[in-house]
Amino acid sequence: MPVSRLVSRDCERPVALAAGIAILESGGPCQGLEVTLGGGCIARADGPLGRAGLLQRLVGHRLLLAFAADGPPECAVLPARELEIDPGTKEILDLARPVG
Amino acid sequence: MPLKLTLKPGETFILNGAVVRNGDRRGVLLLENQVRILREKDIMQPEEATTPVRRAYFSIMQMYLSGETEGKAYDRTMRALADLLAIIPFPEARAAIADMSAQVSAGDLYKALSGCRKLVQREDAAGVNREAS
Repeated sequence: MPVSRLVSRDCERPVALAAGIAILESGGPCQGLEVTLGGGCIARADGPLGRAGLLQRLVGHRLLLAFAADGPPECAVLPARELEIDPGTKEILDLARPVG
Repeated sequence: MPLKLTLKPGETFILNGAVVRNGDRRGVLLLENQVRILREKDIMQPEEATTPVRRAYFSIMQMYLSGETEGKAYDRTMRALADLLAIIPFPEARAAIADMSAQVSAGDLYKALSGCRKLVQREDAAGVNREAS
């Protein structure tokens, strides 16, 4: 089914993850678009990045679901990664340290 | 319905990014609207993020504290969740991670943080070495 028909038919109710990604990637409207993510979660273009932010979240979630579906790992080795801390968060956490 | 918060003397909490410390007596606060609040017991300092599960908690907590649901903060959390999937074989825990991904992607960071806290508690109960990252 053409994406344009998906948009007009499905924008009144939440669409599935794959359909939501297809709509956004084809330039369809994001206003009013609701996408089901599983577990009762719904994603909307309600963040500061708007359409790009919604697409980022939908693609990220699809990728993670693909990892999860791959099944248990055969070997448990992780790349060493530095813990990334936002300067703003660091300031908050420093202030929140117990006193005395 | 307001959220009632009973505070111990000197207890700290973070309210929409503001660090608030109770005085030297017990206190009660009523929160009349929805805010981002994190109590002292749920605050994780960077040096406590010593395992992949704790790193995932720390990433989600950073999003929750800052209120950021997209961009770099989102990518960082999804990398942390993917790292968990790379080492956790238990189907129940893998399903919980997929749920957290849905919650983070929907911007429901409080639920994701609560789910991840349960994994941290299970890890702690299993005696996972907190020094081994």
